[in-house]
Amino acid sequence: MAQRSIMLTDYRRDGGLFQRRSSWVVVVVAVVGLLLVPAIFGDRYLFGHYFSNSEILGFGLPQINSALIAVVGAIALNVLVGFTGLVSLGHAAFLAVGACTAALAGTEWGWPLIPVLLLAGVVGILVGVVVGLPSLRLRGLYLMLATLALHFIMLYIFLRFQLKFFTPAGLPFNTASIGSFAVDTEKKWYWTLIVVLGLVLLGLRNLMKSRHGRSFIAARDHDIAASSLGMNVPRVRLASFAVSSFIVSVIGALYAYYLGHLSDTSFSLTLVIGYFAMVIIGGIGSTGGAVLGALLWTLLPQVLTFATTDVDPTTPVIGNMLTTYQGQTVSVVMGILIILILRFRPEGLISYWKAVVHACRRWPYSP
Amino acid sequence: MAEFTQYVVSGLAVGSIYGLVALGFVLIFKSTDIFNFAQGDLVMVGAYLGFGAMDRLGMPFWAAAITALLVAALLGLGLQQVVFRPMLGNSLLTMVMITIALSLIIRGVVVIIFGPLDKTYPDQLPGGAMTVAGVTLSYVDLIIMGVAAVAIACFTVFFQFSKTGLQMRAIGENSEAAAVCGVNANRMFSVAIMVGTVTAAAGGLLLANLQIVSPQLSDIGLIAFPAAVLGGMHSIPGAVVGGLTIGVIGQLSAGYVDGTAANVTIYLVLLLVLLIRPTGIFGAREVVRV
Repeated sequence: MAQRSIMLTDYRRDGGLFQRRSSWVVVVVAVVGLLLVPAIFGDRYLFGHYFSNSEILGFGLPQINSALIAVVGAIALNVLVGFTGLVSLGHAAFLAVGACTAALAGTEWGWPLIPVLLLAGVVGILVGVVVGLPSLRLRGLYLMLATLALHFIMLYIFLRFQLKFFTPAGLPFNTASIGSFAVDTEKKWYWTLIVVLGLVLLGLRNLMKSRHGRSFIAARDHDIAASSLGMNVPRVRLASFAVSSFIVSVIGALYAYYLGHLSDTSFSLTLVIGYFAMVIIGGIGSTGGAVLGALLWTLLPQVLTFATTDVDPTTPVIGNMLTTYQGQTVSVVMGILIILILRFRPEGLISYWKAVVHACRRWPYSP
Repeated sequence: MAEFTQYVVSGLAVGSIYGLVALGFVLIFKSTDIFNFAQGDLVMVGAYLGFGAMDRLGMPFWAAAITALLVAALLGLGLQQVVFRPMLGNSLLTMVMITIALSLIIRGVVVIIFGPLDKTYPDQLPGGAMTVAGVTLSYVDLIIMGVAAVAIACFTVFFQFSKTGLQMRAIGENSEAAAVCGVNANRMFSVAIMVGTVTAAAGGLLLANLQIVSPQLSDIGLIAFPAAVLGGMHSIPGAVVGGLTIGVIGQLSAGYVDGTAANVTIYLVLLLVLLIRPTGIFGAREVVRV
């Protein structure tokens, strides 16, 4: 009978990127999957087979790129809410900070993309530390309300900024380009975003394996115990805000470049609540969960919209509802779905994946 | 000076609606620990229920108001039994998410039933105004203040002097100890959520006399949070005082700065209160044991 190792037995493997042989399988599947996505959703051709609209559920690369941006945003929010236990509603404001910086540095001063992104990240860190200051005094709900207050205050500043430097219609952005490589097609955006996502995942994984990452979790689980072990809990909280807002500002700047045009209405509270929903549905405190949650939150409405497009308006009872109030129907279905997920899986979607992994490792023993 | 008094008076009128909504919010939070993000949507539901009763059933305002409040009570009971009851005891964030999902559902359903167009009440509170010492007092404002004051007084009497009120306060104080003493916690939760829904609906019915009935009415929920925090998240009189204060601050900043500044000023005040005195005006300091 084969001996199956459930636990890791040495520190080198625990800190390593690939902990088990099976990790390679996941990596290979992921790489092949990522390669297939632009072929299927972009070119629509794979091995001579043409994918019709209904075979790919009405998706295209634009939806997938938006989803990728949301994935990175959700991962960053999870650092704050999941790992450090700081409930923040200031997420959209950080996206706005990134977009503002990109508009100023990119559009006004004509900087190239990479320095703009770095500057956006640095400004994000600065603002993040300031916004994080209330977290030194407040916990839980009170912190949530304080960041909600900061959301409104920062959006007001954003609106003033927009009106002072640009037009009431919003901020314009140049085409993003790295050297002579212009990121101007959906496919190029896809690969750019995949690279960014990969860097963020790798960076966060290393961070969370380090002393600093563990101190985030310690500050979340028991701040008093953490400080008695010599951690500077206020500094840990601010560091978490800095990491999260760095990523969010960078992705905010990228998002601005991707859309090409943004205004203050792009950063509504609905957006914040959406990110919040992604993290919670996916499973708080898990990067994989944030990815799953973000994909579900952004892609499922597309699927639902597509599914209700071909409904005959004369279908009794629901026909008129589905065609006239498509958006509303989709949001009602999403709402019901969230309640059901949380009712039966309060740990979020990632718990399904964990169950599968666990069953595989324990095989052939019962799960 | 007359201008200032004018802003204060209209602020008190709007503020009494905020107070009513915040009261329901605090009541739900205090007894069930649910931070209800859908409070504003319940306000909107109240306004639309009143509209539905007037427009589709042809009722006058007072009858429509009573119908709307009754339906809102039933809605609250339904929410507690179907949505909240199986979820109680989950983490704070999970409950927040449940109420966010609820607000998505409510907004969708309201638009599906009533259509996306803005509405005005066919039968409103009596219009007109009187002038006292250079300050215009519209009858609508006065009626709103009066109705809100009566409603708040009724709730205060209910909490202070009735058996159910006492039990609800006990649940809010320490639900386990109250349950040991024989208080039916689930029933109290139902009552709390029903009362919270009814106060929100009442706020909606009053607000619909000042504003157009549209899904945007639910934004008032975002004002209920600062009002509740200002008064102290666990204090019912605090919610009312907080609501009035927020109403006056909002009107003053809208009047002296500009319309877009009102929300920001309110949230600036919220932030200051949170940083200086997180427990609010009436809140007791929380004792946390390690």
